[in-house]
Amino acid sequence: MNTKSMTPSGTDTAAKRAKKRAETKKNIQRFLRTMFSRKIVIVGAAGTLFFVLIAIFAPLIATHDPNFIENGQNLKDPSFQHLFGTDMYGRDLFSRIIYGARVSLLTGVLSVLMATIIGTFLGMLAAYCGGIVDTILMRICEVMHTIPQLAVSMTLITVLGSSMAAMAVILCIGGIWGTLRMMRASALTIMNNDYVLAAKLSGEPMIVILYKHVLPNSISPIIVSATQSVGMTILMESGLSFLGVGIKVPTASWGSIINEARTFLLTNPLYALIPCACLALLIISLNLLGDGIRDALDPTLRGES
Amino acid sequence: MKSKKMSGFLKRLISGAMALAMLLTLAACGGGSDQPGGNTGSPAASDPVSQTSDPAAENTGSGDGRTTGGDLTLVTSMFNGFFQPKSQTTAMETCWPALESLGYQVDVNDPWQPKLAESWDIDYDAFTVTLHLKQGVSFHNGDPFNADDVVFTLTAHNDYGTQSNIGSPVSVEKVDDYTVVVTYGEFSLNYESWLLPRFMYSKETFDEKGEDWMMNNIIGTGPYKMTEFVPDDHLTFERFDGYWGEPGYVDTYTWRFMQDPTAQVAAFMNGEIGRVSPMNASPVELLRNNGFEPVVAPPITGMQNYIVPITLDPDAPLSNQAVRQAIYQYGVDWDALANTLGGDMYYHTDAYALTGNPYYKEDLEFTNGADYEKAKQMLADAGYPDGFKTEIYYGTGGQAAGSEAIATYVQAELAKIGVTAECVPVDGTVMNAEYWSGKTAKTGMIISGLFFTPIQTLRLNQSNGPTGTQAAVTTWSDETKELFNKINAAKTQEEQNQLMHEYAVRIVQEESIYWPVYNGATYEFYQDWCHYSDKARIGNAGFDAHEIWVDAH
Amino acid sequence: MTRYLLKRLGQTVLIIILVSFLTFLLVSIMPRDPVYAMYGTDINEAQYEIGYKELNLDKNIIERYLIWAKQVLHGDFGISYKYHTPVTQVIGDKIGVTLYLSIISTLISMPIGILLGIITAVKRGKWQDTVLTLTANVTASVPSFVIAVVLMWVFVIKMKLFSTSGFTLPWVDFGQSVKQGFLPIVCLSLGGIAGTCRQTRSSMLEAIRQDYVRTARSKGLKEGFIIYKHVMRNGLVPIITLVGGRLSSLIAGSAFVENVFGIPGMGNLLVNSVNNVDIPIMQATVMLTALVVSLAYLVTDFLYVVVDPRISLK
Repeated sequence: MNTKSMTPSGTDTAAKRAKKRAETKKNIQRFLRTMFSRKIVIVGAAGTLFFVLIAIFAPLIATHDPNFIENGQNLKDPSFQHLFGTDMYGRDLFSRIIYGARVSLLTGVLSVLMATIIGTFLGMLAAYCGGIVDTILMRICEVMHTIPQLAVSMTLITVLGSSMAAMAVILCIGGIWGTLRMMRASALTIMNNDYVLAAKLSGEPMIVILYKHVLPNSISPIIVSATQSVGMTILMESGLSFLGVGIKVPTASWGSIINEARTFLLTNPLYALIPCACLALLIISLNLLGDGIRDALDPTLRGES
Repeated sequence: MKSKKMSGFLKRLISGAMALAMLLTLAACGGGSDQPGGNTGSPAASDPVSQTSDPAAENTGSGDGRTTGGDLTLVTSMFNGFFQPKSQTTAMETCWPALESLGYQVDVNDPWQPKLAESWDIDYDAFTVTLHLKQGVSFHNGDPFNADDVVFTLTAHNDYGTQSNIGSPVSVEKVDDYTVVVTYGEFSLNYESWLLPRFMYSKETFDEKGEDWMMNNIIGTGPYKMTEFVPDDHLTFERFDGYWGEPGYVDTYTWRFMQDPTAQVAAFMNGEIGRVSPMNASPVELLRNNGFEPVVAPPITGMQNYIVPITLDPDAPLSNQAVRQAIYQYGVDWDALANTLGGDMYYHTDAYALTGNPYYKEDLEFTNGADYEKAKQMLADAGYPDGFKTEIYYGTGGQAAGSEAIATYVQAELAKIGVTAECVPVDGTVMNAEYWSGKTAKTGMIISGLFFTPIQTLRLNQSNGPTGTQAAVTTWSDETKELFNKINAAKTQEEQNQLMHEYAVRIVQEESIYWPVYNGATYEFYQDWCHYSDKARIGNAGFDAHEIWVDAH
Repeated sequence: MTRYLLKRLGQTVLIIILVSFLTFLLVSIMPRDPVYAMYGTDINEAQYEIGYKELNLDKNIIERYLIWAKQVLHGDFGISYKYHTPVTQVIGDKIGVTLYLSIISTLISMPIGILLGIITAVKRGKWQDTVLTLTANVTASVPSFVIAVVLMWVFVIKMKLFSTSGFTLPWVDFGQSVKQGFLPIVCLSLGGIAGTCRQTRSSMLEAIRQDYVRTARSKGLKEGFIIYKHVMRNGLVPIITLVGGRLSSLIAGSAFVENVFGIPGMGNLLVNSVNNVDIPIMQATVMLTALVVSLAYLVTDFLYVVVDPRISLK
């Protein structure tokens, strides 16, 4: 017996759907209002937007080709020609930092996107199948949680190389397991709810239940965890570049620029300090935005009564 | 009840405040208490003009203005294992106070001087070298130095397959306690270069303690003995009272390990270390501004970085001689590269190996900066009007930071003439096993570099000549192979010089199968209180302890 | 409770075994030539063959793993390719360094962080809260190596107050130890303080909202007493989580700071061993890290049960 067939006529279903859409719209509006009611979140959102725009419009903003070496112009101070000066080879630092935003954001967003999708799917799988599948997945989660991500990433880099695509994959691998665990916990909780049990009893296939009930109700923790992961992933990527094993030359990544600049800290401190500042600002903005989203989605988490 | 709750909260507050107070006190203490340079803990540091009990030291300490005593702290970015017959031919500079060689050569063209070998006879017809060893020498642990140790050290190479580093002698035999005969299979002008710079190790110690112990401890015959080695931290030596020769002035040597070039220069400017050789050019200006003038180390300490284009695939662009010439001669601004990566310290030369080599003549230099248009034209004439794609392979790990910089620069230069190059980092072990052997990459170019030992060109030939370990990536023409064989068979130095000159012109200018990138000199900066006289340096990695002293500071 | 503990212990052992196998697998897929890595690149064919057999490369991976596992159980982790000393000795030298720095920074950051967290929770909404929370957020977001580089520039290069690198134990040479250790400890502590503060704040606010606190308030008990008796004890759980979390990132977390300040510790060893393909060290370090992490979680689970009896029912 299908619940749908219980409704008397088609128009009622349409009305129901329309009502749902209006409700969702109201929810979204309320969400946005709550989120932006705090100044700090606006700052975070503005910062993130700033860097995103820089990344998108990099070719328009950058004054030079980031990989072009101007012979004999290395380590020059900021000037009109080179807004941030030049790096150790003679490349324009300003353009490299602009394009570096691209690298950081792209690898961060891509890898988190992939990790979230795969993690969500696997989490639901674990909750749905239970039994041996669940045990195996959970053990893998624990193992991956125990091994330091730094070591795994460095090892995989030697195998897969360090192009942007490879980095995205490698960073994604680190992030799948947290999402998996969270999704699984969320799915299990929801599946214990009465209406889900009722749906089960009325014969709805599990796939439909997962899609109709579990997924929509897990959206908020997924979004929260995803936004917070972006910051951490960018951190990891820049850390790897800083150690010298990140995105390969000559692509500009803020972490690798900082690593290059370390040698010149005595003589050209700006070379290191500017990408440091950019990296810090981006991650701070992302985290503030992420906190804002989390607080707006679930006010109880914020600690206000 | 009330007092309990207050105390709980208060307790937390107090502990937090105490932690903060502790931090602040520590900061205050740490900032003010230590004087830079004086915290190495050596007792003699406070008494710089102390006389030692050794009568020889007393004699030399008083008259020539050189102070005896004190500690000299130096810095290094690398500690390799100390017992090295398996890979390196000479130990690192960090070992010199303790290890000694059979003989030494002050600079490239100087005659060989005796050290542990008092004298030697060479029979160029029988291909033998007879070494007469110094008597009355003992190792730091009391073992006497004799022919057994020499035979052991030289034949140790056999166990590791590295006998080519000493010229692949046919046999090394002890004649009596202080005479050793080394027999080679063929004529060579270089017997001394192969044998004399070897540091001598103690056979008894090896038998007793084993190889791993030897790699972490230094037992030698030199004027200083190792007192402590903490890997990745420091290595200390103190004067060895049983030394056979005149003792050194300094009481203790300390090597501190610092991987970061900035840290090294900062430590020098803080006065923590006596001498620094910047690993790149940027601090040179800074140090000059602070009143330090550099001393340029002689060419014997230098190195050459080079690129070898892979010419195995006849259809590949780089297998085309015109393409290679276009790139090397006009495609890259080598002078700018050298200047950017190393300032005054690096310079580009078109000459194969060291500039001061006996076969060197001015006509070996022929490039004159880059001409991108001409290069593009030459590429078009050769059949590549739109350029082509290629790879630049460079090794990672250890000393490879220079290679990455070269790869980055060359890639950017190639982009200017339409050649799209991809930089491919390759692990050092794989580079040797797979790439240089020609097994993996059929096209592209490989970056490499070599530090010179007194055998300089010999070693380079061993690597890059037609029979060398890096030979497999090049398709050698018969003429070049013939020329190379003639060089090895040369009977006089003049003949060898002439042939080497021809060889250098051929491989760099004509066939363009070897691209020198830059040669590097070493700049050294010294503190006012740290003295290395002009005669201090011996050869590539050795020093005369009698030419180094420190003032009170 | 004993059954729960035994179960957790069994789980931990299983995880460690899996980790060891995974590490082994990971190392074998690295495109390195282990024979050249061990013996250097100057060896000839004959030596290569000898080395090949010695490293058991002619056997398949399962066999190799079992051989290695057996050696490990006997306490033999092999000889480091780079240092030519037994792995246990190399790690022994360096783990002390990392432990020292981590423990000191944890001892510093925990009390300060908890204190600050309490302040922000109690003064919720007022200016102290806003300022402290913002500072904590910012500090937690900035990458540790960025903080390290900036501190290095300000205090070492510009002000010449501290040493650039190296490490000395305080009982060997106190002054030197402080000169070399102060900045790294500050770096490690900052992150800890920020994280602890945030976590304390949210868990305290969570606890304050609970019914029993409202009941206590309605009974007329003083605010401070409430804070101590109810909130702190129940807020202890997330703090235990925090400490567990800090301990678990002991080694990997200090990698960047050790790298910048040239400290010969475990973090640096881990990074260098991957770069240098020092396979025995790499395997041992990862295993050790895994062991530390697992133990940390085991201990925290145990503490949960002790502190909050409700949890054991899970």
